[in-house]
Amino acid sequence: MWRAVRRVVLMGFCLVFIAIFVLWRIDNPRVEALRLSLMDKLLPSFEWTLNPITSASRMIADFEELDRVYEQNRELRRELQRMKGWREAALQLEEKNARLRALNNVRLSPRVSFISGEVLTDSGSPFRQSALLNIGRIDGVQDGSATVDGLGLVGRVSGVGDRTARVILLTDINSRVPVLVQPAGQRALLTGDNTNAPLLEFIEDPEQLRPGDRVVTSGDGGIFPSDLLVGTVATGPQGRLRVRLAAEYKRLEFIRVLRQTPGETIPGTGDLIGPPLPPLPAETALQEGTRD
Amino acid sequence: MTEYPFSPLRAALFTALAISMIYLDLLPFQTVAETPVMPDLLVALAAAWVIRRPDSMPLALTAPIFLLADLALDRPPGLWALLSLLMIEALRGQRDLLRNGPAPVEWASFAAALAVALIFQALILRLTLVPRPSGEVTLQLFAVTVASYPAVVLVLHVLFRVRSPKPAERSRRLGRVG
Repeated sequence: MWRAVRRVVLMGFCLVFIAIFVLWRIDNPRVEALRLSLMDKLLPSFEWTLNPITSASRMIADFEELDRVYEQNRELRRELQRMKGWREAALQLEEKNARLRALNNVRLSPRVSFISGEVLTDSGSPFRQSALLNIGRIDGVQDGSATVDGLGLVGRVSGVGDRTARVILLTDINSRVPVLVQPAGQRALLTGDNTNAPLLEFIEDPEQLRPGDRVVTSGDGGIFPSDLLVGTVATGPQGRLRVRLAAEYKRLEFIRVLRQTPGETIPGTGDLIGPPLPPLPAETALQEGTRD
Repeated sequence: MTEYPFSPLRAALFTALAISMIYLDLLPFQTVAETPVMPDLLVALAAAWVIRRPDSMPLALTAPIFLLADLALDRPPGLWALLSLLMIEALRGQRDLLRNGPAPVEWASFAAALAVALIFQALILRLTLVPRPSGEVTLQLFAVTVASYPAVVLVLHVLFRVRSPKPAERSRRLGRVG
């Protein structure tokens, strides 16, 4: 008797699980929203425990790097020397740019503002590459926004709860970002494949790309702002073109979510441009009539 | 069947351990792709526990925990919960054999059950056209989970005193009941 009840309960649970899986497959956004609202409820209560553990582990990781401090120091000095040269060049360029802009009377596009959030958790699964931030709808995060780590693009917001937001990293297999490779000006699609260097696909002319070329977002599709740094082109082991990401994924602590004001769109063609037409005779008569 | 009676304390301990396993997975150490794959400790814990103390693992407790893990860890919800629940139930059915046999037999049967579950998972995901990275990750997951099993058993045995009832104890209980 007891055993029969047990079996029925087991069957019931199995059916519920199958139903949830099928529902997820058919109506993904709704189940994902449910998942996010669950995390939204649970995580803030765990946040106070997450932070100390994460920072402690980071301290340990930093401590492990202590033995190569000397080496690192020399490396940094060399780099600093190089950077000083660049800084000089940048200052000169900025000055020149300002002068040219003054000549041109350019109106810059509105600046993109951002909200910074802290990484609470990762996906927890080796099959997915995502992170959960501690900012959400009440902080003004919008679904689909671009996220950067101060240097380069990190990923895209996919799913916003009240206090949390999930970011799909560029390395996730579901991540697709339209990019532009400079200086060749080639458009391509950056496709995550669960490795640290995502693939470049649908390149117009791969011959024109060289390892080391800069990759920036193209802004195609209107979801991301254009000209965000993504990384540099690199050749993979099988000769496929990949992108070495500029964002430092190893130290993903704080992430900026860009708040983009939507650009003005021009809805249609303009009206006829010409000298103002003389008023129609009937109208002039009417106007004169009112004037009297 | 000679078992301990259901004890809420043990069930609470199992729940706490299971939730801390999910929590451990969630800590943001794996933001880089291609990190070493972490073992699925929840399944290892549930398997080791169900062989030793099935009484403190009622279905109404394990099933929601598995579903919570699926939802929290960004997996296709319901699928791995279903497979691990079936796997745990299969091990529960064989527990007398596994308890009395040598430890390697228990380990091997855990590995076999996990392999079957993972193969089914891959098959169902392929059939439903869910995008997945290459099978390498699954193989690594299988290897590290199987490797972590003895450690989980040891920790349960020594630290939390989760042990299967000894034959002598069982016969004494039998006598008392009879």
